[in-house]
Amino acid sequence: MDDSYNPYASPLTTFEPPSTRPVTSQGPPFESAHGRGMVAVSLLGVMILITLGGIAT
Amino acid sequence: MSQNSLLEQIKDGHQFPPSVYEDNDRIYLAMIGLQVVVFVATAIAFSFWIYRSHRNLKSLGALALEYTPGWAVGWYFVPIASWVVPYLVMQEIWKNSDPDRIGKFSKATSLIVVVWWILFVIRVILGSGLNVAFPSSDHPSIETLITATSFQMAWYAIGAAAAAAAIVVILKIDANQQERYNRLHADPATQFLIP
Repeated sequence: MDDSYNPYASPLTTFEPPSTRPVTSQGPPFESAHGRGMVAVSLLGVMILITLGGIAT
Repeated sequence: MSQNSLLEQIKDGHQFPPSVYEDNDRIYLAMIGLQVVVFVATAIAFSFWIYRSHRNLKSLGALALEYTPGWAVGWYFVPIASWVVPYLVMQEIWKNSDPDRIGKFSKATSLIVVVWWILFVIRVILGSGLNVAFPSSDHPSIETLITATSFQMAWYAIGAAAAAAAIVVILKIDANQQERYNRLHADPATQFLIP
């Protein structure tokens, strides 16, 4: 017989409300998109230069 | 000499040696080829950035997401839906990256995302219209070539404006995500928000 069982213990003592779940545990960990963003920004900059070159020619 | 001024001078009756026309065609084709290569490379880099940016949203405390990181990119390749859904995805990324809206639902739309998408759509429509209105022909009239060149310059200008807007969107979302991450980790209270 399990002596640790207490039928009179309030379930509230062990209940963890959903609001205490840390947000950071959801989904994959944060990895900055800055590097990828800079590659895209650089290529967009090249696109603008080529486009302006196209207008000039 | 630009193609536009060359065409105007031909219209006015000026004669040029064949090498002038050949040089103009060579420059034109080189510009088109360069644009295609850079456009494809940019589209790939932009897709990788969208995937990573959307993937970060859950860890940044996003409350309700309509899209997944994979489909954030995938919707660009779905006919008809690609006219609207990529815009909605970008708004979702924008809203859920806002460092001032941690733990809050936001219905506010980003104006720069609206501007970027309108320019992008106009560019696509104008590009398709150019192909329909001015199909390749062996002997187009000089007036047709002048009109097509004018429309093409407008297409270039709108494309440049759309690219500039995309740069602003990327830089702002990157900065917002980093700031939101810093705030989440600086203040323990924000780590216990209702998901």
